[in-house]
Amino acid sequence: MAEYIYLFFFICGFTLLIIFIDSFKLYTAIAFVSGCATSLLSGFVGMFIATRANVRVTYRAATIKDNKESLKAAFNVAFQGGCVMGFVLVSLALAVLTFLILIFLLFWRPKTTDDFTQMFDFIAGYGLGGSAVALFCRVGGGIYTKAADVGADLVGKNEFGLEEDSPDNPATIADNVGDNVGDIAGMGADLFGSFAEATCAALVVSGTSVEMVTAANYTFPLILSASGILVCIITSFFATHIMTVTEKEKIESTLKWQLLISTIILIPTIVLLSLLLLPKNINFVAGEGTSIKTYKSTNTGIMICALIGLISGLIIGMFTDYFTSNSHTPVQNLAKACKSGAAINIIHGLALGYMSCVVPIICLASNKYYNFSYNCCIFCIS
Amino acid sequence: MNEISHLFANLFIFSSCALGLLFGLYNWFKVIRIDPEKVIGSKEEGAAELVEITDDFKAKIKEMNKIARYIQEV
Repeated sequence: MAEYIYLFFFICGFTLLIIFIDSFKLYTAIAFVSGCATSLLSGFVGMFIATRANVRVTYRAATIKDNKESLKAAFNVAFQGGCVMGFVLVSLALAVLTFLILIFLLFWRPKTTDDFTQMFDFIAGYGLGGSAVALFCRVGGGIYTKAADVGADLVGKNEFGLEEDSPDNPATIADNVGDNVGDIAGMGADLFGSFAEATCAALVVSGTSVEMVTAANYTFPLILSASGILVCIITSFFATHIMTVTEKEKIESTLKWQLLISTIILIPTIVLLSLLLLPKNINFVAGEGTSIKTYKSTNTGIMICALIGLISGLIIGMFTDYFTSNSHTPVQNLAKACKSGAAINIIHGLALGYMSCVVPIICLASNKYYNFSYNCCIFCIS
Repeated sequence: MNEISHLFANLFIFSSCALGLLFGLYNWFKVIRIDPEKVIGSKEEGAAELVEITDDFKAKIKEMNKIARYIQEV
């Protein structure tokens, strides 16, 4: 609550600054406030449901006598609790952004590519709003939770010999509150920021192309995200109804299958959407005056970028799991290194951190179709 | 085809969003309808227990400070 009060004053101040910088035009400020409000609402919904879902997962796990049934019920509650924020966040973000575009179209009535570019420049304030909230929730919440965690450990573990997250330690409450803000509202705001920024960037670039502003071709990134929602609804049924968790070991594999199934279903969806909806040849214009340059792209190029982005996401997800899960050797080796002292622990951990970045960087750099920023935006959205 | 009409775009996006929101709400109710108070206890009971633990913890810290001061003096 305290963080939201500080955020309110920050948003008010920043909105006034945007209005001043924008020569007292309200368009960017409206988009900024919409982005902030949507991100805050999604974060609030996430925290509200997460705290309630936590209790219910424990309840399900503790009260059902049959081990298999209790694990299945507890997993389903945890998964459904997570689904609430995921679906509410993406659906709200997409709906508000589309509504904002419709309102701006109504008032702005753009006709030329310049008009569209300027209109989408204003709408980019939506992404800025999301990032501003993410900064507060992720960083603010993260620092608070670390401070509370270390404080709780110092007093509880070292002085009183209590266990990690012991209910006998009141500081655990502060630690868990910090976890909620940093890892749920913060993570949600971060995801919202990434989604809004990539989509707004694609919109701004599409405003420079005659082919894209003809009809509603500029809505392609939004349609891509909307199809993602539908695919994820189908995918989530696999976890709760088809690949049910009955053993502890199945939890990780069921979650991994979610990533794989959604990627498999999205591949033909992206191919169909790109080939059917986008014009075959698209020209984007960059620069001003005498330095104007035209960049050519095709619907196939955009499709390949989207597919590489999708598969890169899968690979990055798998590698992140490999480097952070205790069921794989990197974390097991790090745990062994901890026994040799603090210095070895820090060096090994740091080296592991650097090594885990190699594959994501290769994935990001491998896309030779980055010949223009629109393709890059579609890669990010995928 | 190779062209997106405004009607198709808006219909597709808003219906997907509506479906996503509905699915989110469906999961919300699936989670919320479970009533854990029967076993875990009510919020008030939990709060009372928390106050008790906190008071106990504060008393222990006071005691530890006293001991620490005593050690320093000695």
